Amino acid sequence: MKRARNAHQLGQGGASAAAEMMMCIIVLSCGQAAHAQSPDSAVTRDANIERGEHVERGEHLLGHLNCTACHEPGNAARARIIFNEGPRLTGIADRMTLDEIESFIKHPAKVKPATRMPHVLRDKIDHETARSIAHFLASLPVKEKIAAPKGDIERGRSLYHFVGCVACHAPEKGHRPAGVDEAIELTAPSTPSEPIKLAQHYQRDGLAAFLRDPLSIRPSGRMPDMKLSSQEAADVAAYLQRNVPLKVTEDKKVDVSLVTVGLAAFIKHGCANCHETGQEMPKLTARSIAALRTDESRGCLSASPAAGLPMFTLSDADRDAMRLALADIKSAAPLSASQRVDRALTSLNCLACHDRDGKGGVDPALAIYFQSTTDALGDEGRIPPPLTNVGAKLTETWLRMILLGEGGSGEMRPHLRTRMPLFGKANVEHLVKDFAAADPVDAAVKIDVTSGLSHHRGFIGRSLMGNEGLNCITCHGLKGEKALGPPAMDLTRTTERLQPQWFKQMMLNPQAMRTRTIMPAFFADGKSPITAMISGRDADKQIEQMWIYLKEIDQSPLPPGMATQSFVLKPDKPMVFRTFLEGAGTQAIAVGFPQRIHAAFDAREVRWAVAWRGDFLDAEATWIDRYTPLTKPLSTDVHKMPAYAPLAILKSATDAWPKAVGKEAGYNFGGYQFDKSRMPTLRYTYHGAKVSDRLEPAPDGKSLRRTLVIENPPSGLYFRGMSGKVTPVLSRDGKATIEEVVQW
Amino acid sequence: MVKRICNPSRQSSSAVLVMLFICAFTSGLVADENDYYRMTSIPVPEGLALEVTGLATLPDGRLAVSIRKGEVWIIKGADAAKPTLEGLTYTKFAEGLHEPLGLTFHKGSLYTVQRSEVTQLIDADGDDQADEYRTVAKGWGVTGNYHEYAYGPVFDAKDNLYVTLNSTIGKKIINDTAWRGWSLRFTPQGKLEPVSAGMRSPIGIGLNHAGDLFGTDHQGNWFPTCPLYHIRDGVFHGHVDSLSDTSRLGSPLKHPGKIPTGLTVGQAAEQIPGYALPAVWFPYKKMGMGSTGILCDTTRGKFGPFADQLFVGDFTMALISRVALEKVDGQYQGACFPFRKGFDSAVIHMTFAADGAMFVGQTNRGWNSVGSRSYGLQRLDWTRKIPFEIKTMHATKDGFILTFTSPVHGESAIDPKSYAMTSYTYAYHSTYGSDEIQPRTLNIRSVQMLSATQVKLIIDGLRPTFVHELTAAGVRDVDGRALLHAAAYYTLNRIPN
Repeated sequence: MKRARNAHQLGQGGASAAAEMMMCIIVLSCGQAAHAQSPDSAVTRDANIERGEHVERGEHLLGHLNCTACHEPGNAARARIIFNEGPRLTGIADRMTLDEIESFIKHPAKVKPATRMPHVLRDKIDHETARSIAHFLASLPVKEKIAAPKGDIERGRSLYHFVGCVACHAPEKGHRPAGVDEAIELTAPSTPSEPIKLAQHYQRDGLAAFLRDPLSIRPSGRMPDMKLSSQEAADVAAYLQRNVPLKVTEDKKVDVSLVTVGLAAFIKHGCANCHETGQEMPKLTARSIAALRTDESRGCLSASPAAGLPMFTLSDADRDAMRLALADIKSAAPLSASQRVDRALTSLNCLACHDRDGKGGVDPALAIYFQSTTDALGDEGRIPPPLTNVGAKLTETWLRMILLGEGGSGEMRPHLRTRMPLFGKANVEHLVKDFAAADPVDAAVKIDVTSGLSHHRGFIGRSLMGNEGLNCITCHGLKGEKALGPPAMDLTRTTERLQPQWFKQMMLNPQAMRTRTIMPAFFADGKSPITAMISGRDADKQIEQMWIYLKEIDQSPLPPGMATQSFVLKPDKPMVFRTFLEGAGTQAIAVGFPQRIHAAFDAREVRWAVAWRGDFLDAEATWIDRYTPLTKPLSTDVHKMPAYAPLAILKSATDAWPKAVGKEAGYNFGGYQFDKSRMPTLRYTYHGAKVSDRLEPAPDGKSLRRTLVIENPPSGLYFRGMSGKVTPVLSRDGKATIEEVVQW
Repeated sequence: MVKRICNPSRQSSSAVLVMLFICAFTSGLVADENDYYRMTSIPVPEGLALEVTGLATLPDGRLAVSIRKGEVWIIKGADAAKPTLEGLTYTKFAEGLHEPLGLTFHKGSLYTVQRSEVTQLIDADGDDQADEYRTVAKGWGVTGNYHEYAYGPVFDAKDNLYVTLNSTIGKKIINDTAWRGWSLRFTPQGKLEPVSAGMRSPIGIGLNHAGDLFGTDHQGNWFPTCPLYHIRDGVFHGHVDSLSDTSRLGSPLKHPGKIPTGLTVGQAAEQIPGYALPAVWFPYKKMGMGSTGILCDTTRGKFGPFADQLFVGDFTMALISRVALEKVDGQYQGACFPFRKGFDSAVIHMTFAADGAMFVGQTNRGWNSVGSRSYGLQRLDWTRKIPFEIKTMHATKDGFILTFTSPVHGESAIDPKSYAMTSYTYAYHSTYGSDEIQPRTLNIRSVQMLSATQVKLIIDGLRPTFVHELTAAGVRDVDGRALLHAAAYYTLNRIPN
């Protein structure tokens, strides 16, 4: 019946000529002799473990061992068995020598204990076949070789122990990370970790390239991308191979005559079912998962599979679990979002670092390898965050960014030395929706950030976060500004990351949301210690005000009290700044100089009004506020200039100097002009005379030098300088130049 | 996307009525302003608070932007289909200005208005950095109260420039109050000529297609709701604080004497010499809560079917409305219509790009606006699809003539039940704002089809000086579309003979 069809169901189209020749001779089956045997009676099971747990483990193994590469899963099983693509073999010649490849094919579990790769050429070790497959694989194209930088074993050792490798791979025996007290006893982890024996067989550069980008070779995500730089990858490679001689370039040449034979063998033995080679190849098709019989005595699950079938390294309990899973899978309900989450977290070993609902979390024996850049935050500063309720905590956008390593999402906890690795989009993208579905929100909080009131609320939120409010800035940085105290998470992206109800609950009761946090609880009984506008002491309203401020943080000034925030203008060249200025009125033109001596002109009275030494001006009132109070010179060393006009038409030098200034006295202000060095000169007219009036720092930097150029002065024109002395304006060719020094 | 749900023109009349009901529910849901006028945000570099107060398109296509902290920036690339930060160039052209609240390009130079003067920004060496800040107009008072904003400048065809000045409203630092709440003209020689009084917060100032000057103002004391008024010599727009300056030399109007309070605006116009009713009232909350920039559609069709009409921004509701004016007995009056809502922040100033796109500058510092941002710059592009709108509303002695932007479906357009009208007016008083008072529902006696796009409504009981609010919810165009905006508000200062 179906057997015949299954046996010949090979890849459609695109097959190479060699492969096509092979088609008719390939017969694959999972089991031949049938013994009526109930799957339940296969082994003695631990009675304390529920059947469901066995099934769960069985399904995990069916995915882990990639059974669906040969056995068509069908829709029910496809949803339950996580497909695990085997390593991609393109470019393998960059990583392993011909001999290493051959030896691996012949003895996979010896070369790499606990490998997922089954033993295929096992009946009698078929050296020729293994050799030809090795030659075929070595003939696959390699990428253009980029030599890895020279690795440093010590740096590699350090990286290996802190970036997160030891969450899955054994730490070096006796290694004590820097800073770990001698009194702390080193213990072996309670969970068996994966040895890295295969690394010894790699070529050095190939190993470094693999560590740099493991997902391109092993897309299943079990070995995630640890975000190592090329130098870091070379360091870790050097460390992993510290005990083996440096493997250099391949000296053996590929034997072209073996390549075609190797390809045929590669297909025949089902290698192409699990491994991408960059070439289209026919794949073997065995019975579908649904059609599998769990009582086959010589199938893949038996202790001695028939010739031609792969042999996996399995315990009796493993086999039993897989049989149970196969028996149940036809009638199994679709996985729930929670189950999909659980499976992914188990399969990708997220639980080695993250706790979720009491499952997983850092092994106490490994805790010393989870380090922080600061002591100030306690365990919160070094242990990766728990995933309990993470679907209700983070926005879907942010979850996606974290899982896919986008948008700087991995930089939110710079104090954690352990890195959040990347597991590959195909393996984790589903978690975005699944977390959200698995962790429903009890009572969603909606904060209206578009209404007319929101900006007032944001303004209040800003002061609440500042040093006269709840003082969040003590621990939290904002917009790149560091916190004043312990460097907890920067809050700039809070509203992008968090769901509002989680933010609210975290604010109301931090310890209930995060057991390790050192954040104080501010709101007792729903009341704030601070009284704010609109909200009074109402916790809910204040939290909402802070949320709105954080929502608009990119366009808002930092909270009051943040260390380096300053609107003090620091001229690096002459600077003109118009504002309401104490001493120079509502039409002031302040001119600041890098020499830290400054002056201001009153454009209404058309005269220099004030000068000072020290800092220039604080622009906050002019730039930020709605209200614009008078700005004050930032100095106690302020010099008020005499309040009379500089020029007057008199009959003689002894006439009384007129009291009138500005327009009333015949002045007409005309603006200012910059020269090439950005030095401004003020312009005004007086009874037909065109006046240029400039103040600039004198060479001593302590006084100001004033230069007036008067074109076309009317007759009887007198000048009265800062000293009070009246002098006639004497012109030559219709132009007079007057200089004086302004000092005080 | 507007999905064409049904096409009544092909149905029999009984079927049409059924279909019309369906359309009434469905089209309204699927039609979207964004289908016709697409909004694009222009990215702003980190650290630059682009609180836009003025916009001007330069001859080379770049966009000049004045911002509230006192700078002028020139942006290259804001007209790109999808502007990105990498594709934009921001150049600081001027700085240190005192709260510039307007920008215009006139005869080779940028001009802005600061609190105390109009400044010509001259870049003599062409390095995109102004090297002369020339004072070309000044002479009004600045007491130091923060409300004392100055708006403009606008140049007329004779190179006169105009500014409008916010009332002081509150504490003063010095007692220099000259011409607060006035519009001023400056001749090319710089001579100050007071034009009109009675302004409160006249953020918008702009010319219509005929070259006449208009201003917008804010609801508050003496302004029952936001007005659009025609600025012309010797008129009083209604806000009383400015009247003390009628005693100043050069005032074109005399103090009207005792100001009555508690009248309707129509009665006030009869009793107060010089008080001119605004051309349009923007009914409060229906059409905005703080009118701002005025921009006449000079694009000759590049921005859609509203050539020569005025667009008016709104601060609090972050929207732009549309105004179609006509002259009755030599005076402007007309209707306002909803146009586009949903801007990120308070709309302050608009300008057209050379290709006919509209740039919309925004900042809400100090006051509230809807929208999720504090400031920004957005662009409206017409998608080349004609929205089904009431294009103009023209008053007749016994009703109104409506012109639509596309041919109407006859049966829906001539059915009086497709329309509803109410009228109301406002109180003129010193308290803040006014309710709509003396409201009345009017009877639509009949509707005549004048052309494929035009109908005449005969209405009983029109009242002069009242706002006539029309809803044309039942009208469909030949494609079965309901109006994108079914409401129109006509300020019927005068009923034509």
